[in-house]
Amino acid sequence: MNSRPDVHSSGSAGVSIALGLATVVLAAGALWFARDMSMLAAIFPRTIGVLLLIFGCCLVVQALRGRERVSPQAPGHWGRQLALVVIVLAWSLTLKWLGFLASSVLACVLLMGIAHFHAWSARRVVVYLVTLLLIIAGFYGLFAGLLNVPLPRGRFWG
Amino acid sequence: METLGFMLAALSPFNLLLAVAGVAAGIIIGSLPGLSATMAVAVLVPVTFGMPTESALILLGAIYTGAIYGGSYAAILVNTPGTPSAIATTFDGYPMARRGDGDLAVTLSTLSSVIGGLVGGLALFCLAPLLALVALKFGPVEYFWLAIFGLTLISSLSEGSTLKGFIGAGIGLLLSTVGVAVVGGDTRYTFGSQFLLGGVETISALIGLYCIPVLIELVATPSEHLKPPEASRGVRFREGVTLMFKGKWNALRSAIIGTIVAILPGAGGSIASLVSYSEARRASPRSEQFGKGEPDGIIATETANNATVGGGFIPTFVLGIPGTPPDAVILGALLVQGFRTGPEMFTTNASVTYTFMGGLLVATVLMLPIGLLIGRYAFKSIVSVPKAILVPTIAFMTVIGTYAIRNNPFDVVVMVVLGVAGWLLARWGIKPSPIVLGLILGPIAEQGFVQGYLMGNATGSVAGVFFGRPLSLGIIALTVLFALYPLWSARRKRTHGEVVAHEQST
Amino acid sequence: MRQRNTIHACLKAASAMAAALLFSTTLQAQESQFPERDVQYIIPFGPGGESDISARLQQKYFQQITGNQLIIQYMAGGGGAVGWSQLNEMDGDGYTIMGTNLPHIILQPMQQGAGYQTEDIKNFIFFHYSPDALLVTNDSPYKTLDDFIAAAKKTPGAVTVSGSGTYSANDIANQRFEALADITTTYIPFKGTGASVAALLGDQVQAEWGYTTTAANHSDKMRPLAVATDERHPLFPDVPTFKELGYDMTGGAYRGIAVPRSTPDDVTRELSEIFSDINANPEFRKSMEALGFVLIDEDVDQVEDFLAEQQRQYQRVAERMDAGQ
Repeated sequence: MNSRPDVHSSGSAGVSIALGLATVVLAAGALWFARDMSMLAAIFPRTIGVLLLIFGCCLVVQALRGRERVSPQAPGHWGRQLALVVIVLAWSLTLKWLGFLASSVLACVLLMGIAHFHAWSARRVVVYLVTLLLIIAGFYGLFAGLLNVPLPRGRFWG
Repeated sequence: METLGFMLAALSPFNLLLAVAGVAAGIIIGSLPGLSATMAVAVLVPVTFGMPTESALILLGAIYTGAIYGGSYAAILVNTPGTPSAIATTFDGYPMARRGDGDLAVTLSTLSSVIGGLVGGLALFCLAPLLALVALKFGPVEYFWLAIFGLTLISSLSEGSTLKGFIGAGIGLLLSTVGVAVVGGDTRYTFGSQFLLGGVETISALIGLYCIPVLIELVATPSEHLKPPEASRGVRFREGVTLMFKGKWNALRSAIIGTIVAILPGAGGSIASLVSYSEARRASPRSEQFGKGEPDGIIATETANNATVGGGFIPTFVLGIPGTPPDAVILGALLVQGFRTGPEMFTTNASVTYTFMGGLLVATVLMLPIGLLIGRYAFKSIVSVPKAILVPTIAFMTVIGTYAIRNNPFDVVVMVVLGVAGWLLARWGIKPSPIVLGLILGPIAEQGFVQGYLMGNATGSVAGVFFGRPLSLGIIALTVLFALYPLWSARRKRTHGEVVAHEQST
Repeated sequence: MRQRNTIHACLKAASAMAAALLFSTTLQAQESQFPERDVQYIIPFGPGGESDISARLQQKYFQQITGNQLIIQYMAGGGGAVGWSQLNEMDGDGYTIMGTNLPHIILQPMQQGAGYQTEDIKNFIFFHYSPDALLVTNDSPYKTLDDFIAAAKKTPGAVTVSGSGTYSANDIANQRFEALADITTTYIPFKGTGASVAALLGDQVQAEWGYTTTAANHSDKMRPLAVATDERHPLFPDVPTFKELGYDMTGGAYRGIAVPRSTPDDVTRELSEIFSDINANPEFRKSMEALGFVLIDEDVDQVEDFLAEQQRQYQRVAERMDAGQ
């Protein structure tokens, strides 16, 4: 997320071309699915689709002419980032099936694991786990009890 | 004189207690992404049934104003707007927090919110009937042009490539069409899923696009989330006041923009704060510092969004048309209590109305001590919490908050998918702000356009409807001015730079 | 010895009291087995609308009658479709109920991808409706419905009318009236009643299809030309009904409550009785009528016939709309 100074990098044109092409595909999809909408409902998506089509082409042309600049990617732990994405995605998909509390506790404990960069000691594990469970319990109580939000119960427990 | 007496009734111990409790609760609710002011107000409505109408209003108003202010905490400390009104606060608030000035940013946001709230509240008190008439002058066509005006702000919001900014806005606009169309009634882009019928919820999209990237970046490196402050140095109140004083015109201008935008039902705090942000940036001599932690950016957005609270009550009270979603809930509560809006609010029911206005002003002032207290604590805890706790906690709040908006588990999936996509897009140069702007302005632009088109067909001249009204011509002129200004200023800078270079060489 | 006796007596009295208490509570429980705890009332719209307001009014009397709370929750999206399509997956124990609206639950399934069928929804009561009304501003040149019709006949399509949404109660009302009066107007859909009212008050349109409730809320600025009730509405004794003027049009937005299909019939019946009781409460009636609603009592025994009749009516209009496109 850090904005770093813009530098030319060898892969940047490739990224822009890919982005431009993706935009074109998106725009084409939007236009395709707008084909059997009623006239009033179709005006807006069609206009946006056409505009996106133009913008996407412009981006490709710009990149081919080498005028596009892209910031280089920040170094980082790719494995941990990927793990986070997978965990959060799985969490959102299992909310209903596992139940809100079960899937949340599971996901949060896993996230705690990947967000920790130092060595674990038994004491630290216990302290962190207890803190985390207390925070979850607090917010769960706030939403389910005080705010009457019907959180999915799922197949195991509340 | 009588009105003053009614206003003083807001200082009764019970009403004061409600204002304090409301502001504190509101701040906490607003600071949690996903817990919106609308929801907080809706949950409390049954509690207020047993109270006198004016006390009920004071409680609801205090929560509302506190929540709008509280939205800035999450924006500053976690780069996630707690409420949509705080989108623009992330632009400078988060960079300030990253470099260790989070405490100063929170103090500035507190001072700005109080000033904005006071301006909005005073406008409500003095000018309500007059300003309500202005609101009615805005028809579908004006809303359409206003949305187009908002979209031109993309050019000033997107760092780097303007073209990518427009692509981002296009993606947001497309996302806004998912679900059942208001005009035409078609179901669009749902691909047969009944969960998508309701469309992409703006706040869940907001949470996803801003919060998920923060989480992904947090686990990328072992370095601290925010730079901790050098030593214990309080809330930097004096420093904040000095900066505030320097930015007084900026604050006043933003507060006025906020009040005016809020009078238009449906426009809302997010547009108000974006407009005043880009206006502050345009007027500032340090415009290139905006987006990198410029205090004036926070002043602009936070005065503007708190001014929308008072401003939004104007159409609600005078016309019975809610200015913002929380206003709709408050209006409903009033109707249940057998209370009518309209001119009676300022005649037969003046005691209730003016006591409430007094209470709103009191609540706004109370934000200063309460906000500084809670803000200091929030900053300290975010800075001192280890990543292993911070990451799951933020993630949990994101998930539960998104779910709670519409009690829909599928919204959580949409939020996560948008978040991951947003993170990838941000790496490739498409920032979340244009996408969110497109999502918010899309329905306004579309409905305005189609309604204007139908009106034009009925009168036989579509062009006449879109270009024939003085108010819309005014907005068009403003749009053109704003769109051309960056070009003009760049050219001026270039010629100015050449002159300087020339002088230096001689 | 004496002391011991008193203690004994005390104990005896206490146990007798406890037994009495126990007995009386079991008796009470037998008298009204349902509800034993709070009931979740899901409104498939956002807070602040008419469905929300009427639910809020019911909330107070529900507690008076049952001693338990009616907890209002919102599940907005797709004009209610998101909520209704998930209703039957919810717990069918009577502690989850959901507000339903006509014509929504009839018209939405006719469209593609609503995610439910009208027959899927187990309604147990329809308790009120907001009668359709054709509204104009106080200073409008249309003094009577005839003025409006004359203007629309003079230049077909030139008269603009605002309303909330497409395929909605307002849109249907406009279609029905156009057919009955043989006129053509331009219907302009807005998002929600608030925006539609703003368009009328700002003179963006010449008239609005709204409800008596809209007229009641904004009585200082607008007046109905006619209302779609059987008899004149008590709030507007001077405003004629469409029927009086020769247009056979009664109806509006009806509100009811449904349970998940798996809910046992006896529990559903209990619920229906509770809400009928709320409807019968004179205080409740008064506050509802002051807001412009008209109370009806289509309870669990009548609701099927009522729905069948409504379905026939809307089907006719919908067919006409499709043919017109």
